[in-house]
Amino acid sequence: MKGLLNTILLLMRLALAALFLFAAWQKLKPGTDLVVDSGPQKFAQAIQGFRILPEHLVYLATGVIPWLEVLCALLLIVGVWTRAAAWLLALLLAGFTAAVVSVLLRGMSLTCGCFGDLTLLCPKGTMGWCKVAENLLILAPALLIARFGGGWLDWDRPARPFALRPPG
Amino acid sequence: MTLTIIQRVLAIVGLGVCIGAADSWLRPVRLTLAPTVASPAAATRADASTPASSPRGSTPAASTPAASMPAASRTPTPSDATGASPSPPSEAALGLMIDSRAAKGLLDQGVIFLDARLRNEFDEKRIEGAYHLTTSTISGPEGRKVLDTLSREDPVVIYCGGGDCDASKNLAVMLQGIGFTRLHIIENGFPEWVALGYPVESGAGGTP
Repeated sequence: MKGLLNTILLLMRLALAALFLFAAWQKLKPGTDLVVDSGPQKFAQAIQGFRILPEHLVYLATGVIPWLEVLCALLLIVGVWTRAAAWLLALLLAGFTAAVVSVLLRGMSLTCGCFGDLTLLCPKGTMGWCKVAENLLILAPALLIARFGGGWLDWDRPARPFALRPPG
Repeated sequence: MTLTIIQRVLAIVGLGVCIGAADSWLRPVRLTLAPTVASPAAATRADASTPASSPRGSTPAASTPAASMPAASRTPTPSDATGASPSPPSEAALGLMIDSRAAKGLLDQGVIFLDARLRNEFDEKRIEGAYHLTTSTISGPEGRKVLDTLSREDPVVIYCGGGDCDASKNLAVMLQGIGFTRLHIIENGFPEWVALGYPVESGAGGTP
């Protein structure tokens, strides 16, 4: 049973890492010969479209969020600081979800641009409550890893899976 | 030394901020629009056709900051749709943000219109003769086709859905980044155009 759970945690960890590496690449990729068409430019405009952050924080978020995603994904892959990385991803996802809910409650019509051309659950186009459900679905494994660790090949100490209580 | 989870999270955030700051410094992004710049030839034509006492004729639009620039002219009324306006403003005299009445004048002068809304909205109904170009399609084959037909010196009108819609401004930032200077955005977007009864069309299309 414990082996199965560790296997599931490992698979969730790798899937989450792959997803966030892809998302980060969409936000970091260089533009074509149109310099302004770069990932950061599109991501900055997407954040600005949410009308939540003032402009100087839009610049900050544009620079920092993709690299946090990269760092967390790499930590999840190598199995070091997995719980911390998972907590951070969960916090990011909670923030994204709150932003989407805020947009929907304000009746704004926006496209997300979260994963580039990749569609997970929701169809391309304007954001809806489906995007909230999608984010919560990704949040669940992040919280599980944050709580129980990364399963097999997780070198995180002292937060090993199911080792929260001292033996005996 | 064993770090707690919170310390580890803070360490990751700190490293992310450092790398992100360096990346932003190396690859800065643009969020603000530059003012529209009238071409010298067009400005000359505008000066010739506009009385010298006219504030718009004597003060180039380029000298006004984009953020504080008002729509080009008065708020349009449904009667504008009848074409009662005797002389539409010259393109060179218009600022970055324009209203639908000024845009109609530009359409009549043969200025190219770009629709920055989603493809399905564009196919459903659009300004007559508009091309489809968005921040997503600008580097794809469809976007290339549209850009290939435009000269960087051409005046271009961009519109989206009005209201909260940022698509036209985002597209304008990208177009300014590749050298377009004579851009105009319909401030209240497509809904105002439709409300005024100006010409629209529907169906697939959108590329030259």
